[in-house]
Amino acid sequence: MTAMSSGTAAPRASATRRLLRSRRTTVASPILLGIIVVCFIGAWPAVKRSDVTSLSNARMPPGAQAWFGTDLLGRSLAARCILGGAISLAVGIAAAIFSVGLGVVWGSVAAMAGGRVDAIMMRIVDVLFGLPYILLVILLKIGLEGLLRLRLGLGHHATDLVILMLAIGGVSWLTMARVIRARMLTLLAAPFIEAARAIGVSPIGVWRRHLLPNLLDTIIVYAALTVPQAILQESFLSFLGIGVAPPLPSWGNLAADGVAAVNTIESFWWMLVFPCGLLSLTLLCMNALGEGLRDALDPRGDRRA
Amino acid sequence: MIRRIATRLIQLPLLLFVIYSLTFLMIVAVPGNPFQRDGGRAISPVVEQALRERYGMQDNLAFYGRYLQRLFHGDLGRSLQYENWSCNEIIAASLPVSITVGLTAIAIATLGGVTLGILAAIYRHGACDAFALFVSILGVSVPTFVIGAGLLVLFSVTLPVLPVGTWDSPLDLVRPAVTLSLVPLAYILRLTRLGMIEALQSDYVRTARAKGLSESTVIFRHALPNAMPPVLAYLGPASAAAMTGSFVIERVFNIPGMGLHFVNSVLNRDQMLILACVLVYSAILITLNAVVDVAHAWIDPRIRVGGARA
Repeated sequence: MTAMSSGTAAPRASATRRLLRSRRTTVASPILLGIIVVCFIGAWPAVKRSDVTSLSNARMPPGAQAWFGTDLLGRSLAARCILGGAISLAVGIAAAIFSVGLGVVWGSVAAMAGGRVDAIMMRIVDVLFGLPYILLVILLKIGLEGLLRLRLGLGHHATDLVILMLAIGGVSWLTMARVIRARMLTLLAAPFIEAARAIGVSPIGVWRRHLLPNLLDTIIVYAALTVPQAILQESFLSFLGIGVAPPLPSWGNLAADGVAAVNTIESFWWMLVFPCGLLSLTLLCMNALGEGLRDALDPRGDRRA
Repeated sequence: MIRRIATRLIQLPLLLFVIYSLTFLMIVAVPGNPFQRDGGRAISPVVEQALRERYGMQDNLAFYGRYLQRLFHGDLGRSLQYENWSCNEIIAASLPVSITVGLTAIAIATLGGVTLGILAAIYRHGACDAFALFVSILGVSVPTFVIGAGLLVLFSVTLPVLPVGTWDSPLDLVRPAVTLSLVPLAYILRLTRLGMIEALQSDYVRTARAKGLSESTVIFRHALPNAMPPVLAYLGPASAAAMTGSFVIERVFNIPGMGLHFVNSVLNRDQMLILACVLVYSAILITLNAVVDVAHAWIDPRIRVGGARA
């Protein structure tokens, strides 16, 4: 716990140094940055091109005319992969932010309220933890769909993505809540919190000024590891046909199309390889980066060394 | 100990009841009429009324009560999509498939993960450790459908040794089980490696070595048992997840398992089958979690005496 005794500047600097020294992170971050930049900037021109069908150009292998080849309807696979990447990344990142926010608030409220409120809140987490994960995401998604689309009559595509984001985020906050509560309980027992309370700082002030800065490292590490999880969930759902609905692409439903396009008679391998490769590469880099961050920031340190 | 078992036994039906109610809320919130096929002709109100009466779902409240009543008789209802099939029959036909795949996967994961973990801990910072690290990151990052699709292409298109899309010989089990085993393998590998590194640095291992015991005795009799509790704790939820979470694998390899039925029931709005699948899945998961919890307390006296939950 050097962060508490000697201010935050020095340990942060050494964490940055440790992060930069790790080979995993130095390889992963530029690749990841490249994928994210290309997907989000390329998404604007890709929106128009990703839905242009041309049956005479269908199933064209990768070449000068179409970098990644074309799909069954002759749409440019490169454009679809870029737009799909933007959608997958956006849903994943938004879901992770939502779930981290929910987890931090839930854990903090439980720890600060204590007593019966704490017991009830954590029992709810226990119960939800005991439920089948992907099942819960699917159920939450169909439930929310009914609520938002039918009852409120919202539009189609955008609502779909928001529902997906809420369903994934609404299930993956449990670990975060547990970790935050445990960290909060140790922090709340520390003398500097007692001192802050003694001079009359309000509970919200205590949380914002004294607890949150000390929780930041934990939050960053878990957020970094939640993003790839959320993207993975999204791709599973889209692969099964429950997530992002065509014609909107996502890496998951592009991969599902790819699996259908590969068989023993003739295989259009590019439809499978590009979305799967991009998705796997992104997740690999995100996990490597997240674990690098954990090794650098985790006060218990050297768990891997 | 008895109290722990009793608590778990009481919790099981309560949890299932909560899950039933939650699931029910979700499925009645879904837009669309379960009796109306997509793209089909509009159903006449008289026919729909008759169908609803036949399935005992005149209104939501009646449906909720009737279904609950049936559950006490072990009746999971009739499928709305597959006429003449009861949910019990569908699940009885598909659940054994999912369980076979899941348990095979867990067996592979445990064997592979523990072996690799031990090797990585013994030869730390060596080539084996690097390989273990690679496998563990690969296992948690690459989606199972990517690995599944890769294996499918590799062993059917490129190197045709395994049959494709069939489900009648034990050979068909190989690819899905291997694919499904990778995620738990990665976790078991990490847990074993960490536990073994800690154990190998401990005083009792130094004592055992100082006594002149052979290296294999030190590793298998002294270090390994102390590295295993986290792995055992993980095995419960992992086997439940492997048995119930194979939706994607079943889709890729075209296996007639329960995951496929669940996904289809969601897509078809087959409310009865959704309820049945969710309840069976949850019952398996909760039971396994409870068994592991009790077994864990049995093995580790610290938990038994303390009685505190982590």
